[in-house]
Amino acid sequence: MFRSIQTTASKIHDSINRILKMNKIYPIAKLGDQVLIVNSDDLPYIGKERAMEVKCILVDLTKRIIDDLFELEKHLKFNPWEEITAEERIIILQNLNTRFSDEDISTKIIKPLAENLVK
Amino acid sequence: MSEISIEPGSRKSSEAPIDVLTAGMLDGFHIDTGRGRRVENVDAEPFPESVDEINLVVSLGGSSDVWAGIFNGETLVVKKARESVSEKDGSIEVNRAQLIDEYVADRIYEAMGFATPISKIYDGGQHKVAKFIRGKDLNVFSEAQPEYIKIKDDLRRGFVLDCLLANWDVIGMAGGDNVRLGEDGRIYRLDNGGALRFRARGALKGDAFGDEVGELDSLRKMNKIFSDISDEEISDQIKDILKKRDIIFDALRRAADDTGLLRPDLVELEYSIEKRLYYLKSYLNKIEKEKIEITDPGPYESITTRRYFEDWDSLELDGNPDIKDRIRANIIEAEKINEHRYKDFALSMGISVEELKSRLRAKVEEMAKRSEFFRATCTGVLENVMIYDGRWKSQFETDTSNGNLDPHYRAYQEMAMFGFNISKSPGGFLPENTWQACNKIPDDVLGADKKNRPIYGYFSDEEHGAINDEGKIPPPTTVRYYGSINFKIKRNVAARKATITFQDSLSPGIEWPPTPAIKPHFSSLSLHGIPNIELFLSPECSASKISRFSYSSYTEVQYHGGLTMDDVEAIYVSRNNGLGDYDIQKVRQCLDQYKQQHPKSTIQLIEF
Repeated sequence: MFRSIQTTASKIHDSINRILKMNKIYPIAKLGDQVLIVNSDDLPYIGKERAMEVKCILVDLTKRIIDDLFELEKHLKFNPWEEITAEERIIILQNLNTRFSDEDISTKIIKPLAENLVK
Repeated sequence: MSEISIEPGSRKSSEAPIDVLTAGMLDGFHIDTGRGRRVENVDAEPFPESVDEINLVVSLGGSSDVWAGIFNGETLVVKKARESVSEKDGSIEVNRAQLIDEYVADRIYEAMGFATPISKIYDGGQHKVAKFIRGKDLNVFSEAQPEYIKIKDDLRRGFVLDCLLANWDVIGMAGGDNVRLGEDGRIYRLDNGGALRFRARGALKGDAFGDEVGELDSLRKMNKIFSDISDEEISDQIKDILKKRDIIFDALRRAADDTGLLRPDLVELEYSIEKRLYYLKSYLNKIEKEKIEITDPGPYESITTRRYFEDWDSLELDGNPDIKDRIRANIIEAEKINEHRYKDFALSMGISVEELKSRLRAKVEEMAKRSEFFRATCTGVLENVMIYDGRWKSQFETDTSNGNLDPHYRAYQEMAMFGFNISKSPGGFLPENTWQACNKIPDDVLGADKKNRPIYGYFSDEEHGAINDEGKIPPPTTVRYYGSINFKIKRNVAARKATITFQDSLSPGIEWPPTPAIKPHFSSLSLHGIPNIELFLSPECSASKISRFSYSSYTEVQYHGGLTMDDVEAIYVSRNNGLGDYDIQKVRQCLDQYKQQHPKSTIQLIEF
């Protein structure tokens, strides 16, 4: 019974991660408990052509706050953000899942990023 | 009404007090505008022989021991000298000199034509008794009321004298409880206890009452009423004061006679005032020099910019070796690029382009002068900054192993804005101004001298570093995206390390280049972002409320040559600025730890 619940939970988690991946949520940098998230379609533009058009969303995982859409370059200018590794990205995506409702993730992160792509 | 006239020097200090009035009318007194002639009205003498004869009725509160009392049906204000416990032997020390200094300041004001309540010093400075002035305080009136305007005009007329006497508290608390419109129609400076050598709360000013009249800047910065006094007004007031210097010294010496001021104290005050008058003369010369007509802009786009560059070589600015040259080139370029915008705005205002630039210059200088300089910091990097590194780092110093956080754009911008690593660039030139050029910056240029990359912050004229529509907290500052803990940088540090823009500095091209905070150029203001230039130029527009007057959300500072904890004066934290209890506790802990590491640190934590 316990294993069954665990397996179900794991499947749900994987499923949500797939959805997040499908929606191209890409945590790119961290600073303490804060994370900057971009849409992975915008990765080619960071620091290069049309850099100022790349938008990101700052999420505070501890305080459970999702900020408004903001220029990534402005954040990078002000603080020593550290680039997130592939392993860290998986954990951060999982944390994102657990700490915010699907609706919040959809309306406050996925939607604004998708609507403001550089392309 | 009987009247007695006494010539200078004919009165002994033991005689009844005499007031020196040189202009206007005061109830019961005949006023003599002739210099050096003093007039008293014995019938109107409201003061008793001894303070004990005054029936003290009610405490008036305030920062000192002040009472209202009655004598012969007249209301009097009795101020007692401050007392403190001696650190040496625990005895009670009485600060008699402060009340005497206040009396001296009163007499100088009166001699120069500004009203103060008539008063008398008792017991060698133990008490100062003044006539109660019936009327209404400045802070009773709204700015639109004629009474407010009348008071404001009078106060501004005496601005340079306030500065000369270092009357820091001339306006008072709560928007003006030290200034009163008397029922006789005169404007009274009621409490001049913060003038000359002492602060309002009794401590000595020390070097702050020195040879330089820094109040010409600081009083304008601290008091809205004085904020937009022009150089021309200051120039006229200085000329008037210099003409009347003998009146000032006569008043000082008479006040010394009245109070029994000790000779060394008199000499000290005379010396200080003499030095400060000399400073005013130098200040006047500087203003006059600037006014000398220049009709040829020379190699620049405008006469305003030619004047701006006159003392450029003597300007000290930390940072990379090419920084000043690059900024100079950017200013020239930006003014050219924006010339059509200056023309459009000048046309809309019905003034010449030169006049517009001159007004813009005055505005940006005033905004910078009135501001403090801050660095917003996140809780997440607090320990690193305060405890481990002792300095702020830029993103160039952090790991970019995956290569997604590409720093080429910022590196290009910093090369363009400040010439950062430009000498290391191929050929020593800035790459072509295109997006593609960003990617051509070689890695060794990108990675060189990372520690000295600019650190970004903001400036605001709000004491806690607020910057938003309201210019105060709440609401939170608009730079909270970058961190909610406001570190205030020491002013002398900012003067040599900071450049500023009146909006975010990152932009394609250099249309609003950063220029030195101590000497901002009007081109650092983006004209794209100003919907109404006349509103922007009005006194209401300040750095803390920039978002109300332009599309800019904050006023930016770029610190050069590194920014360390040694450069910090104070830390401001508030729950209304996006911080929680955990964050504030974290700041307290970090500061405690920092102070253990640096016992001589004077950094203050201000929670508001």
